[in-house]
Amino acid sequence: MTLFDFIGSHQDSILIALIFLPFVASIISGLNATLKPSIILGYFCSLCVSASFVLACLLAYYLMCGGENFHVVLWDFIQTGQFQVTFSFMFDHINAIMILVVTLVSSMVHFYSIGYMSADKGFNRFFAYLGGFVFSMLLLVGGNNLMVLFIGWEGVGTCSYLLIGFWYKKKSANAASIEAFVMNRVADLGMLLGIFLVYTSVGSLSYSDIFAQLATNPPSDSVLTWAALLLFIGAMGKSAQFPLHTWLANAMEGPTPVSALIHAATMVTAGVYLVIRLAPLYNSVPQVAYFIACLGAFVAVFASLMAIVNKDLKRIIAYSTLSQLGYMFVAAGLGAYTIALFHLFTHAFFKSLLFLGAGNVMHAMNDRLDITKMGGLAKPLKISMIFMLIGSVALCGIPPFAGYFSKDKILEVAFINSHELWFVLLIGAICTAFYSFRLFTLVFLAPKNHNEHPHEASRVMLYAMTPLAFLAVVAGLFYAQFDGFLSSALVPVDIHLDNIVMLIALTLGVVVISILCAYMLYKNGYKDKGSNILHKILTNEYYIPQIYRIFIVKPFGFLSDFLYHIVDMGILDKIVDGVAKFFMLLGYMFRPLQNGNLSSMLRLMSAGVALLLCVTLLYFILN
Amino acid sequence: MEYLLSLIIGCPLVACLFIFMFDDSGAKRFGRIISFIELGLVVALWISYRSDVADTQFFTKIFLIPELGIDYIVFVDGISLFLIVLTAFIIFLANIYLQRRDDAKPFVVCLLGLEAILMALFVSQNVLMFYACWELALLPVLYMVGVWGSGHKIYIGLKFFVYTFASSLMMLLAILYMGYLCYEQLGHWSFDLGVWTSGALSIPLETQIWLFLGFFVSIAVKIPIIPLHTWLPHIYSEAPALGSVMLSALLSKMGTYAILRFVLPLFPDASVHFMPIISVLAVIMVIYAGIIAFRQKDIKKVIAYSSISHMGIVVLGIFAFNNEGISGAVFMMIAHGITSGGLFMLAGMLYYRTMTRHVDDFGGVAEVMPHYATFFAIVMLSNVGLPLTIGFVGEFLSLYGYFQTSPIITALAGTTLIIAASYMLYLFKNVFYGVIKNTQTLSVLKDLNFKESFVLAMIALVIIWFGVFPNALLKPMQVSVQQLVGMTYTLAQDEATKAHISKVNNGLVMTMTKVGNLGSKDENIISESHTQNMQSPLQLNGYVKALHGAHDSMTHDIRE
Repeated sequence: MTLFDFIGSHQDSILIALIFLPFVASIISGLNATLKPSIILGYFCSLCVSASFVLACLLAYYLMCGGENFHVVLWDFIQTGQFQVTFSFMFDHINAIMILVVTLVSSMVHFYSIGYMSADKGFNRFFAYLGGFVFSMLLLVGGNNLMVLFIGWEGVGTCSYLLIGFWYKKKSANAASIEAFVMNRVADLGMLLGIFLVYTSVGSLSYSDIFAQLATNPPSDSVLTWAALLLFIGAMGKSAQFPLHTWLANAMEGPTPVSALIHAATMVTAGVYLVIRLAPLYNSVPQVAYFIACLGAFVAVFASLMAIVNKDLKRIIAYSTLSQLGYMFVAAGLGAYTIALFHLFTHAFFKSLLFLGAGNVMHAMNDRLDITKMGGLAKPLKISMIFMLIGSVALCGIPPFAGYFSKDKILEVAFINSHELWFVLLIGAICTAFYSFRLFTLVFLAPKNHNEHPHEASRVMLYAMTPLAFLAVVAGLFYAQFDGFLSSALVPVDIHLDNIVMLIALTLGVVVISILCAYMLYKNGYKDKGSNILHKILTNEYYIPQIYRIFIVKPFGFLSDFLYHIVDMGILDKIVDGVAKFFMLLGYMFRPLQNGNLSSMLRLMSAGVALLLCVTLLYFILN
Repeated sequence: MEYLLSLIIGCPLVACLFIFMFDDSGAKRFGRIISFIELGLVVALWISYRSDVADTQFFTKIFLIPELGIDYIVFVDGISLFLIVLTAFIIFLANIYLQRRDDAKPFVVCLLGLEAILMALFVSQNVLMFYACWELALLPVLYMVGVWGSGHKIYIGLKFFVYTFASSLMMLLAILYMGYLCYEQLGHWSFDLGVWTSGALSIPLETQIWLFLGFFVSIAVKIPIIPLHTWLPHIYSEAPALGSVMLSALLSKMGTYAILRFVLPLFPDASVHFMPIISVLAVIMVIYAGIIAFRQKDIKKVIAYSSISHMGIVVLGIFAFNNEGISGAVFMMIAHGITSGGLFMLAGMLYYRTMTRHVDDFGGVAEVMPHYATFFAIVMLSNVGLPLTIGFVGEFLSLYGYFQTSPIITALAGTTLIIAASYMLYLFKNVFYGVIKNTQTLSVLKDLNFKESFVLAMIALVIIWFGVFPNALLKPMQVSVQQLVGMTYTLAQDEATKAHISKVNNGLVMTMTKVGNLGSKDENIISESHTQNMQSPLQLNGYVKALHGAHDSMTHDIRE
């Protein structure tokens, strides 16, 4: 029996095992959460997730050798009335890529965390959350219908909440975690309504049924537009697109491996995955798709400008992630789903590499994050520096590193569709090159500006980064195979440009100039040159967090107090008490009547008899 | 098996009488045993309940005052079944949880008495019997609050009692009028719900509106629907922990159950007529109470307002008038019972240790009580409506059901996703996260003991189990919910009502066979056929047979 046949006959159980292995790891470390930190547990969890990766490779191999897509129904999830949805998974060409990326980056981050978190008291708890996250993420990408996707969607949100707030004694971490969860919930409401609309109009949540309906018997245009928009709102939350982006930068309060895994490689790309997954839906509403592309281009520049002026090591990389997500949305919005997925694929490697490198720097600097107070780390952190360099170059899109192949394709697609979008993205690319090398120069090459005694990261951390670094170098070379693999699932993109070489040369030229500028400007360290108004706006993140605080958070608290003290206890409760008091008052008023004095009682009685007689008489007279 | 329901009612009631033979610790043990037996009986009921039959099951009828139509009639269907299960489960946990050392005896009596009353309430088919239980249920809670409460307990208890009792009188008036209507139209008094909903009565729209208001006002106070809710925050926060559990987990379900059982089938036209107003009220409940919960300083008040907020979703689900909405509402009733019950128990455990409920006194509790914090997190996430917990499915289905009526209202009610997350996480942060400020009391806190862990583990298990396999609850209630929708549809007189119900159900309504004038001897069985009707796979005949049975016994009475 060949390997192919073996996988073919066990595909269901392999898929289930692949999804549930991280869950098992999570439960086991969760049960040990209050016990002493155990390195063995860390290795166990990491191996579980790696096993998942191996299984994912097997299944991907099966697909590559011509195996069929398949799905597995586990149980009927909700069945009532006309609402029927199953708990089921599937494996096809699109989510194969996602599952590979998720399991690979997760296992590397797991190994890295063994070193990174080794001194932390909550070591076991950390692995419980991390495993839970990987499981939720696999539900998200492995699901066969929108319901399972939504379950994973909320699951990753929760794990992200727990992990951002992992160091729960830190006030800022708690605030950031709540912000992340609540802001994602805003988007999830849109997504939930989108799911309702899809079910109401199509009658099913399973992807294949939705696509079949779209092809044969599509609902009206307005319904489709609404459904696409609502679902995209969900994507905006997870992928931190404007205006729901503020949580991502604050999420950097979490441990750095978390930032690498969740806020760079996997969870934030879920929004892109959703759009790619529902490609037929977005193809049928070009106006929404174009809106997505425009928003993506806007965010690409919007975020990279913030990254240029920021001084916080991790926030710079976070804004960079934001802007790269913008690139992916441009590609997806323009219908180049393969390229969007390819950029997602390469970005996952070099961005997590950058984050993990940042983690090494933080370890060396005792968790200090201000890049203007670093410098001179090239010598003590030689390997980390090389890794960071690979990541930065890949991010800037210099050939032959991975980022070049994916990002340049996006620029080309944008150029074909609209020159304006292309131009915006080009500015974004220039900014990307600038902030990447600003960061790199200030951290490693600039003169020393601190009093720490930095040391290189532990061996397991460096080993864990090696595969990512390797992929950040070579992943881009596989575009042709990638395209071929996806050709059956997504419409391949043909790029016909006469002056394509010119375009590439132009892009590369400005990027290299930008890199050199950054190096020249900062090689002698950071100098505070006073700030103009633009600089001020950018360092304050366009004042958007402040606006949210003043116009949403504060009024919400005020409204809460107002409703409770004035409306609830002040008016409604007082009315109720007023009714009761009214009866008490009546009782008080009539109390003298029942004073027990015999003569006054007699008087009252005779008065009553007289009154009744009068009434009776009157009655007879009137009749 | 025939008398299983009577046994379920009788078991705790009789046990109450024997408790006085024990001392306090013996009473506690006895209470645990009895409530465990009761749970066993209820589980037996669940197992032997046949979910594929559209029939009233475990029907028992004992004549008390046949001349006035007041009889002991009990039955169970898919809707009441799970409320019974919930009651037995919560009371069982409450008995385990009971921590009182000195005066446990009266407490156990209260718990078991309440259990018997609630069981009778959920299974009674005679409306007067229902009403009697409806009022009696106030007594044990009043006693708990008055004796073991905190703060202005007498004022609060009195307010609760007078408010709910006075409003219930309107329901009594409406019930009596319905009985009189029977007398007028059928020639004999009857308080049998089976007769009322048989289709023999015709209630003109104007009368329906008055009767609807009579029922609805008293129900609205019980649930409670804003603005009739002000008794609730007081009593939920000042009652002893188990008192709050009883109130939020069980007593608030009486109201929504009454809507399903009486208001919808009896006054379908009025229900649809008032639907817009009620759904707006429900949305106000969701948002208003949720916002208030955000800044509460008393842990129990946060849970209290969150409870109001969630009941808003239940009301919305019911007034969706379709299968998904009503199943979702019933599911949410169960989920809310478990979740808010769990939260109140958790709050009680903290209060028992520190004698304070003020949020500002806490901080960093996660460090000293990690197990407690974990359980709190699980129950909290269920309250927030996280998928794969019990809180999600009900919310999802209720909102989905109402989406068929109005997407905009649904979107507004859906903000509960955001609001609930904000107040629950804020509370969790303030209590559990941060550094320990109040060192002398907090740093010596003990984590959960065995009994507490057991109770919480049971709750967590249920939360996750039914969150992962919601069909375990949804399947058995399916037929009854379809029947309820069908009955509402069939008994509606107004074409607009029928059109609305048909619309929200996508045109698939299972109509009931309407039994003609029950009083006359030659009855006409008119089966209404609608072009869009679903070919019902269910055994409708069984239902008709039950009605025949009721009819036979009734004609028999008249002859006598």
